[in-house]
Amino acid sequence: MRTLDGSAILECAGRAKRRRRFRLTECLRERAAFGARRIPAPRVLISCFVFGLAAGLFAQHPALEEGRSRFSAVDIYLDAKGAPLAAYQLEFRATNTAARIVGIEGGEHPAFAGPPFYDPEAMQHERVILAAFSAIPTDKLPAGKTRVATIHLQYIGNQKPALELKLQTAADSAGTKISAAASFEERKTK
Amino acid sequence: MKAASRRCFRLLWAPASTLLALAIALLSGCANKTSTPAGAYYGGGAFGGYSSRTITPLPGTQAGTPPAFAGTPSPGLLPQSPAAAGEELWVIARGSEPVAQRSNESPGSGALLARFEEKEVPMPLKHTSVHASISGYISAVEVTQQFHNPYSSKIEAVYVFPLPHNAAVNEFIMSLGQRRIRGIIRERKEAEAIYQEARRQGYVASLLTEERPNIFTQSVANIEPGNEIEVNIKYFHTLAYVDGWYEFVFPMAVGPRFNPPGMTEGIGAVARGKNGTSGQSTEVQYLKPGESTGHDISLQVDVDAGVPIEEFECKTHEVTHTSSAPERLTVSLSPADGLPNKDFVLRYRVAGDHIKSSLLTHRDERGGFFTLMLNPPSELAALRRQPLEIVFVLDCSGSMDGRPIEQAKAAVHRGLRLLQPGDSFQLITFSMTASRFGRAPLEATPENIHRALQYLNSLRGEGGTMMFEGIKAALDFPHDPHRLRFVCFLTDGYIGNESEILGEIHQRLGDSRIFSFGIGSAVNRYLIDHMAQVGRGAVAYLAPRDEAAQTMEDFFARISHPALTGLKIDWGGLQATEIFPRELPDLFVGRPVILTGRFTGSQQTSVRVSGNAAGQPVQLELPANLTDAAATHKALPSVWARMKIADFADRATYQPDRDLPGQIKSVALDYGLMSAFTAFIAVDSTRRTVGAEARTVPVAVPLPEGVKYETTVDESPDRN
Repeated sequence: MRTLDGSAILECAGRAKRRRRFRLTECLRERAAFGARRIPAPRVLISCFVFGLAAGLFAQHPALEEGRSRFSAVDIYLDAKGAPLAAYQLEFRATNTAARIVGIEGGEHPAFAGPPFYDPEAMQHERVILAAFSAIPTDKLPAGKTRVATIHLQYIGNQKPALELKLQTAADSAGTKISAAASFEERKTK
Repeated sequence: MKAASRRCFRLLWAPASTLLALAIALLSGCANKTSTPAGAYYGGGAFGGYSSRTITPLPGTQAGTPPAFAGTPSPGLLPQSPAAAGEELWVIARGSEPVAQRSNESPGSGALLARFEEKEVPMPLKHTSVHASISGYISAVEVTQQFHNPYSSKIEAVYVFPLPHNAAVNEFIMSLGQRRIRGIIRERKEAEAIYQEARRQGYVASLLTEERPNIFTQSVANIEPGNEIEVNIKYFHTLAYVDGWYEFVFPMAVGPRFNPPGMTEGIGAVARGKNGTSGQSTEVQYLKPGESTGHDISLQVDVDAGVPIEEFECKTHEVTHTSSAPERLTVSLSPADGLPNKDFVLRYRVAGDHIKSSLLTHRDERGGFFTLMLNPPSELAALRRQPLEIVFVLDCSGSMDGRPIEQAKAAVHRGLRLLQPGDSFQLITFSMTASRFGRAPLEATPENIHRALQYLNSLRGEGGTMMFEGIKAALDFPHDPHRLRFVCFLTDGYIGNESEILGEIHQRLGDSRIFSFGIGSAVNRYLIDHMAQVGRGAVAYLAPRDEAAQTMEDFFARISHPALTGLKIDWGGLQATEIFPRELPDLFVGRPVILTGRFTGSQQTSVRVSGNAAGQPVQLELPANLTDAAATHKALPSVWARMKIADFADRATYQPDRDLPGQIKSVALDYGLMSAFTAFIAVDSTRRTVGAEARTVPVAVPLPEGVKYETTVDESPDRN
């Protein structure tokens, strides 16, 4: 035989939260059905009220939910070390299951302002192969460190996401491969 | 032991609960203070008796600009729509209602309080622009939807809109000012969960889902007051080629669907502000006659036909045009005709009496893709037809009332007149039930035709659309083996149970052929095209400004010659695989078919097509040059993948298979395409918006031109 103890009260409170309306009578009916010992009604009322209120408040509180999922942006930089950067292809991935890509944004320089293209097959493994090129005149291409893309991510759970960036190729406007350094940085959400 | 522990719990619980209650009460007060947004005053509060006053319009509050509601002292009395300059705005507060209900009318402005002379309703969708580029018979279309927030608190805009049912949607970009975020294709449930979480946490996000192959939902979360967000969608599709004309169609309106009793996965048609009342998983809200939202549409089509364009026409809209070369044409929608309440249809004819069958190929790292437009051989036009058994099936439901049914009747009238001695006919009507003119098909004698015309004149549109009854009545009677049976469905296709209907047609078709006629300004082309496809016939459309008699004459001209049936294709050195449609249709005069597949061949080869026409074997040979490695048509992989998805979806209607959804999902994810099981999601994770949870505002749309509000949109609260 089950008795109306703390967990039963919590259950009642939880249900009350779900229904968005507290039903004390239901709680008492359940208690009667379980054959519990008589508990003074006012005390049940206070207990249920407090737990109901607490459950409702915590459900509204974003911090709890955010423990399960949060959003963040990662900026991708390329430094062409003085050479005009006209095209690139890079691979960015989460090496554990803690991150999902939810958007890809273009960079800061007008040459790469448009959102880069991605390979949909690779995306299924939370691996994004980004590629972009620019047809603007060479003298207007970025030559130093520039943000070429921003990856929008959803982090799942409390596991620390393991991110990896690999530059596959970078080229100038003649299609000649150039040496460039790739790096990334997590942006602080405003 | 148990009793002791319970007692202990009670002892500890009593004081602790009191303290906790006090602490929570304090916290609760703080939480309420911090979380109450500027616009969280739904319900309006108390109103002291009737009052009225004139409000001077705020600067910049004409249609299309957000009214400056925020920060004004008395939100409960604020207007919900901007008033035009000089317009008098009456605001009435009713004192007899102690607590105002939440309204779907305008978030942050309380209950429905404003009543204004001009019925312009503020809506989050401001403008849609469409740009299509046609090359050969493949069109690349870019649709930009411009959302804004004309209210004083954060909103989520939800817009149900149409696209062509064969559109391969492969790109989705959300723009916030100069910033452009490319959406990611994901499994639908996963994308929906990401969107809901982003929405809940206050991030700007957008989600594109497919409800039907031609109906999509665009959701944009957390649009802040006064802000604008653009969503850009790109797709490819093949054009139809009908009787010598290429046809480009851009649908602009979703017609009000009828859902059979008990259905919950349909498309509900509800009045503005009555969301959640249809009992359907997707709902379209319709504006009442005389209401408008300021949402307009601009459209431009650039055609590069490759050969000189002889003529073009657009009967549906007012357009302007320019041409820089004989093979090029640019057509633009006139700004005066920017109300999105009917399909845009552009037709053009290229030089030459008869276009040749053409093969387009594309190769990339995934392999080879092709499309073949297969034209019927010219010999068919010289052969005469067999006697016919024509079954006219008329949709007489409420949505057909008015101009649509008059056109359908005019078309059938002409059809009856075109019957020849030796033919037979039947006339079936359906709305909630079906009825037949004769117990069996009647000989096409002058007396029978005269009686049928009288019966036809008495028909009018009312009631629901139980198309299933019409299908049964049209296909469930013995077939006369001496006559070819053609079933002509004349309908707007405004139903929510398309897959059920297509499954029934597949099951009951037998030797019949279905010719479907879409009647109206914004018909359900997915259903009407697929009825003809499953029914191995052809489709025709009859817009309000088209000549009904001419459309029926064209149909009779087509069936006056035998079709090329029993088609077989020897692909030769093309080495073709995975060709769609899987079942080859019959070839009718004036109606080519488009086949799409994969290939591995690399030589010059030929494709041989064979079949029967009026009992005579007919053969065609088409040269195929696969040696041109540079030949690229980048749209082809997407077009092929879309056809494959459509094939899976069609099979699901008559051959339920648990694996089909997984197969659709797999193709869609590999090719980055929208489907019923995939969706595009884009989140701006750089910034959280402020304020409480965004309120959902469904975008109300006008009814298609010619469709009556009172016979199609149910305003009752508990409609199911």
